[in-house]
Amino acid sequence: MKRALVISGGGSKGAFSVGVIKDLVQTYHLKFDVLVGTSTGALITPLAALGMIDKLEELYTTVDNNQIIKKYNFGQRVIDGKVSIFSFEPLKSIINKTYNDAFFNNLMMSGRDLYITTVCLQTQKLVVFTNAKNPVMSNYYQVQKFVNADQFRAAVLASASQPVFTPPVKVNESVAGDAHKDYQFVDGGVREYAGVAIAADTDVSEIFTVLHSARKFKPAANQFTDIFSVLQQTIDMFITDVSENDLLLPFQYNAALKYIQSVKNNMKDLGVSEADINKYFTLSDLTNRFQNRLPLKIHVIQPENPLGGGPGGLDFNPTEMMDMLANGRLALQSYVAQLPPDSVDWA
Amino acid sequence: MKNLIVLFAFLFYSVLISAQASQDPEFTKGFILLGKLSNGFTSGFKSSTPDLYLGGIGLNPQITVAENVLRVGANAGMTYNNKKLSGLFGPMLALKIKTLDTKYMGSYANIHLLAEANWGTAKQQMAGGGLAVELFKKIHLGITAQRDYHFNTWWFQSFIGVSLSKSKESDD
Repeated sequence: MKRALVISGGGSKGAFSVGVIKDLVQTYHLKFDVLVGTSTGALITPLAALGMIDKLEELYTTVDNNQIIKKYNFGQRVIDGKVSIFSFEPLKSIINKTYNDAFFNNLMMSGRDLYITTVCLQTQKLVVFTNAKNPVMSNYYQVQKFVNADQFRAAVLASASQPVFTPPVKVNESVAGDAHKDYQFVDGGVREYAGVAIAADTDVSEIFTVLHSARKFKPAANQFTDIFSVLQQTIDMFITDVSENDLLLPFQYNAALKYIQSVKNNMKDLGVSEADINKYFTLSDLTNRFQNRLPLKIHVIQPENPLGGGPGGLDFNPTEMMDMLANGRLALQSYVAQLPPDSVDWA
Repeated sequence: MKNLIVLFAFLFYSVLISAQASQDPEFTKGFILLGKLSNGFTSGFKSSTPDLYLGGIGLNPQITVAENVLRVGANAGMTYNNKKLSGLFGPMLALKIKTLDTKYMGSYANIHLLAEANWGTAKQQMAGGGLAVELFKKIHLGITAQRDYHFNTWWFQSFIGVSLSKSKESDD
């Protein structure tokens, strides 16, 4: 059975995902054939693909704001016409060090298909960068294969770059012969907070999705009395809305697959032969997304309550992140505890 | 004077420690050039000299010598006082005492102390200091008081400064 891991965006809240992955890999001994990462998920999934869980845990429990972003005088950035409030120089150093050329070569030979989501500012398209030899194709997003290590690192940085807060990245600047080297890319979460639909397009049977938005909604008790608190609340609403929409389509797709499977079973019970059933459900259009697909098992693991981490998870507080990581492990345990008996073969 | 030096050293040390503890976007490495316009009065207090209008323009280059804490520089300007124009020149120090910060978006201003000494072409010999606010790294607003030891007068001024130098901070 092929499995996919989908990690959503959320900055420092990625520590929650690291807690989930740690138990999926170390307690349940799961391996993932397809990994889809958005934003902080794009930072996590390459290490998860190579099973470097200890390195992930170290990164997501020790780094602080100074190691991720460089702060400036806010007014000066606006007056000087800069492209973002912060710069990403410290994170760039971490990415260059962690995802060095040797890491890239291992990733390319790993047999694991990694998809990193970005959005191109010029075309407004969702662009997915991948190491997959035979990547999925879709009308909804464009797919580009990694050409070199610099482009891979740039794609990871771009996916993590929240527009306005951090600068866009020219992902294809290092790609010889690329017609649009100057195109700027930002966080894939602008259009696809959690790449569940991308995972569903591959040939996996089971998808583990980790979201960082809270399952439970509690009305805020406080008044929003300044620009920044209103901005934080707006970003939270935006992320919640995008994450709900991202899940809607894959769940509807899966509901259709389940319906088709049920119809096939009914036909079989009524005496229609297997060969005839296959004839009824086989069309000449080989690109049909429902043909020859079995229903997917989609697991969604997310925190019960808000994780903190500031607007868009841009506040990297190691103590808070350690709690988030522990919270991720607990969330997975309670998710597994409520699974129907024998519904999965790994728990 | 000794107490003043001890106070200055204490402030310098406290600010240095707090600046090292977190990322501070104020008083970053590099050079700034301010164009300054000042306004005020001179007073001899109990002496027979009347209070007189004081105005001036000047240039004030500064360089950061202790990141997030201290800049040194020089004043060079023209001043109008007692119906006479004179030139004023001298060294200055700026010690940052507070960064005004948003919680997540970086800073927007800083408050710093000024210490300066000036010599004038009309034989002024002055020393003093003041307090200033640097807003968006573009506008400086402040007040200063200087004692002219040659003429036994006090110079009280408010000033507005505009940064004439271009920021070299990167985009990525």
